[in-house]
Parts: sequence; C-alpha cells; structure tokens
Amino acid sequence: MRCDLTKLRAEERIAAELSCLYTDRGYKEYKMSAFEEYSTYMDNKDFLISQNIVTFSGMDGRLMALRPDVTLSVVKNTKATYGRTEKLFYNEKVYRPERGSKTFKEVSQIGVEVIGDVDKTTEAEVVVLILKTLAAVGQNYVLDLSHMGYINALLDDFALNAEQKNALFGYLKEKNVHDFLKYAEEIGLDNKKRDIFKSVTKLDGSPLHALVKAEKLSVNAEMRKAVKELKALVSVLEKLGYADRVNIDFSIANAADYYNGITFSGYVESVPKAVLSGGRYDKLAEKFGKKADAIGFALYLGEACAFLKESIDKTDVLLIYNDDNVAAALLRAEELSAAGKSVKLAKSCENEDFKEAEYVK
Amino acid sequence: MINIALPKGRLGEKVYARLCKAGYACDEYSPEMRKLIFTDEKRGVSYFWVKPSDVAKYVELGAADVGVAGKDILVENEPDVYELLDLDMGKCRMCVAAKNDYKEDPFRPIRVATKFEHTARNYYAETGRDVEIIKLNGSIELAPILGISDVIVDIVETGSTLKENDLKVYETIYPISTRLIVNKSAYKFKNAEIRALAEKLKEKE
Repeated sequence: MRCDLTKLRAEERIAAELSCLYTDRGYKEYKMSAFEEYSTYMDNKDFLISQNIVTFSGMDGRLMALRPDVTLSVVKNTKATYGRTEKLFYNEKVYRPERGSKTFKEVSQIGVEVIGDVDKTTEAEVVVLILKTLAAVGQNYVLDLSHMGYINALLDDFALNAEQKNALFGYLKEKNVHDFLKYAEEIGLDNKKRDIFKSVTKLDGSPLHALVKAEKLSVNAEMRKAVKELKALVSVLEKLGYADRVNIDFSIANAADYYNGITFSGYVESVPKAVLSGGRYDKLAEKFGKKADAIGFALYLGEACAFLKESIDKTDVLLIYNDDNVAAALLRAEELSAAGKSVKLAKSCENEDFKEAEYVK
Repeated sequence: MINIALPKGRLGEKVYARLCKAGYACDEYSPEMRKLIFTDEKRGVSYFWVKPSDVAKYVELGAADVGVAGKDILVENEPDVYELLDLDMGKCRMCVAAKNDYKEDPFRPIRVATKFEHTARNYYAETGRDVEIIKLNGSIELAPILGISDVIVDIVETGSTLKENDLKVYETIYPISTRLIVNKSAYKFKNAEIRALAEKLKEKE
C-alpha cells in the first residue's frame, strides 16, 4: 500500500523524512534502552539541557533514570574508535521537565552522532545533514555556527577564575554588553581585553564579514586556528549553495567541558527558540574513555512541532453505508482509497467533518 | 514588522515615548484607547501592553520579538532571550530589608517574605544561609511588621515606604534598570530590523 507522507502529522512526517535522509547517507539507526543507570547522567550533568531527571530504583536496588538525553548513552555504549567510525542516528522519546511547571514531559528528539574519525569531510557532511534537517522542519531556517576553541582560547588568555569565566559565558550567551562592561570594571579586566570580549559578544552575522572580524580579534594561535576551521567549513557550504543559510554567532555557549570544536544552533521561522543544537564533543568521548573524536546534533522535534501549524485535513469522502450490505460499502471504500482519496465509513453525516458525502446503495 | 511587548504603567509609557522619538511612533495610539494591540504599518511596528512581570514570557515564547523588562524580572525568571540594551530607566535595586531593630538569630532559618522567590533562594544559597521563603504577591513590607517574616527581599526605589514603616535596607543584592530583550529566533529572521531598533534606541539616550 502506498503511504502519502503529507497526510501525516508534522511530527511523524518530519521523523519519517529524516529517517530516510540519514539512512540514505549510510547512517545506522541506534535504539537505546528506556532506562540507564542514573550515574551515567549525573556524572555528566552539565551536558544535559536540564539536570532534573526521572529516577526510580531498579529491581536490584540500583538507581535508574528514564532517558533525559540520547548522546550520553550513544557515547557510553559505542564500540567506535579511531579507524572504526560509527555513523548513527536516533529517533527517541526523551523525558525532560516542562519549563515553568513541576512536571516532566515526554518529547521526541531526533539526532545524528558520528564517533571515530571526525575529519573535515565528516564535519562538513554533518553540517549539510543539519541544514537538510532544518529544511525538513521549515522552509525558512538559519544555522548559527560557533567554535568552542575560539571562545575557550579567548577566555584562557584572560586568566580568569572559574566563577569569572562562568560570568563571561553568561554575558556572551545573552549578547549582554552593558552588564559585561560593569563586570569587567569590577574584576579589573584591562581595556584591551575588555574591548576584545565586547566585540566578540556583539559579533554575529554573515560568515564573510564575521570571520574577517573574528580573525582580527584573535589574540593567540588557538583562536586563529578556530577561525581557519570555520572558514574552511563555510567555503564548502558556499559551494553547496548554503551561503545564505549560515551565520556566525559566538553566543552559542555550549558546555565548555564537553564541546571543543565547532558548535551549532538551528532556528526555524515561527518557532521562537532554537530547534537544533550540537557540536564537536571530543571531550565527552574522552570522559567515557573512548579513543575517538565525536560530533553530533539533536533536533528537538517535539518542542518544535508544538509551534508548527498543523493542517487538519477533512476526510475526502464520507461513505454513508447501509448495514444490510457490508460488502458493497467496503468494496466502494477500497475503490476510493485506490484512487488516492481518504474515506471514512459512517452511519450518517451527523457530527462528521468531510468534503463530500456518498451513499452506498 | 516588529512586535513589541511593553510593560503596563508609567515606565512603559516612558519607554513608548522614547521609542516614538527613535522613529517608532504609532499614529493609531492614544493613551485613552482600550485597544490591546496597536500597529503602525508604515513604520513597521506593532505594540501591546502586558503586565510588567509577563513581558519576558511573551518575548521568550515569540509573541513579541522585542520587549522591555526590568532586570529584576530577568534575574527571577531567567528567560532564554538576548539582552541587547540597558535602557538606563526605571532604576532601583533588589534589597534585603527588615525592621530597624532587627537582629538576626543564627540558630534558625531566616524567614524571608518576597515576590522574588528564585532570587531570594539563590542569594541565600550563595551565602550558605538556611531560609524559609514566604511567597507573597504584594504589600511585602507588611510581613515583617506583622511578624510573619524576619526580612523581605524586594525592590527598593527611594526607600520612603520602608522609612515610613520603620524598616530599613540591610543589604543590596543587585542594581536594577530596564532592559531591551529580544527573542532569539526573531533575532535571526528579523535581524536588520531589530538591530536598527536597538541602535536607534541607543542613540536617543
């Protein structure tokens, strides 16, 4: 039987399209178990969007958790190493607290992870998959790119303590220059450093301009290396026709302990917050003792779909049947579906939503 | 078209006046009107008034692209938005206040009456002090006077209400002023418009 994807709800349609997209590029689907040991998550709590996790005791008394995230489980369970790269995708329900309420919600999340050798080609492929993923969610989309190497190298150069570093990350995330300037005075940051950080905080926009500026603002080799990586990536994306879909924006401040290279944040028009995020997370792989690089992203499909307009189609044909002739009703229904119409068998037109009605003799 | 959420009240009207000066006036608007949303197609702006403490929510959820909110609301609710500008208006401070003759008893938790539960909890957590938070929605100053709390955590503008009621400020937690906040997604899709608005507002300081 044919299945017309456009008839599905947005969430199911996007999930199906994306499964095809990833499978066609040779990515294997990863299925995780519903429960993992709580410690897996708690040891890496800064990696999670929220640190509130649904927990319960297992039969043997171990504290278990209902998955709040998939990446940690993928990295923990993978057998990938250098020379044995795994390309995976998943489509799972995850459990996270609902913002502003005290209950948990179940949301679907789809993502891609590559673990093993992550070279320039792999990185570019993942970014292209991201762009195609965003396109499946909405026609008008933008991908913000940043580089943790750039931000970390800048902050290392400032020689700050952990608390000050966190504060600066906070200002960067909010694009908050005014509070940063006050804070810089408070901690006695010198004028040159202050001006550089201020410029980085304000820096965003099309890659060409932004990366020239970012290069000028670089104060050490690490920062220049990060800019070079971004430039190389952007030039590939330009050749593939995505030039106007990407932005440079250093306000994507993913957890610095886990991410090291490029990081992403994807937006779709009409959804008020980022629908996709991810990046290069070699440091997470290292924490699990893996000898491998890693990169990946997650699409918050459930959250995004809550903001997408759903077209609720009426039934094409309402087939009013006569209970004395069951076969005739079902034969006619088959005929209509074969012709590509949606059919609903009903006793009468009452309380029904349909385009046209037909009586079965 | 930029959608702007303004806080109801005197401060919101001042902010609107400043937006008018910056070139974002709305011909349709008059202070007496009862219309909830007013739009100026020509200048590409649409405004609506909401309760000051709700502005951040409207912006975070994308009903407004841009909003004007006090730092107190931003610290309390931690909305996921960009904070582009300090408008340097509506200045006041978040304080711990208590009766003039208040002496802290270190052997029991401090009872704190406040509207700003999250702010108060964080502040005392940082200082390692046990607290019992009493969440109130108004007339916070009454709590220590009537003895249901030891201190209050609240906004202090001039301090005259405190003074008249034999209360005083014990500590300032942070200074407050009005900020321009922006929805993250709107910043991507209406970038030029939003940046222009922030620039013009800055010039008119």
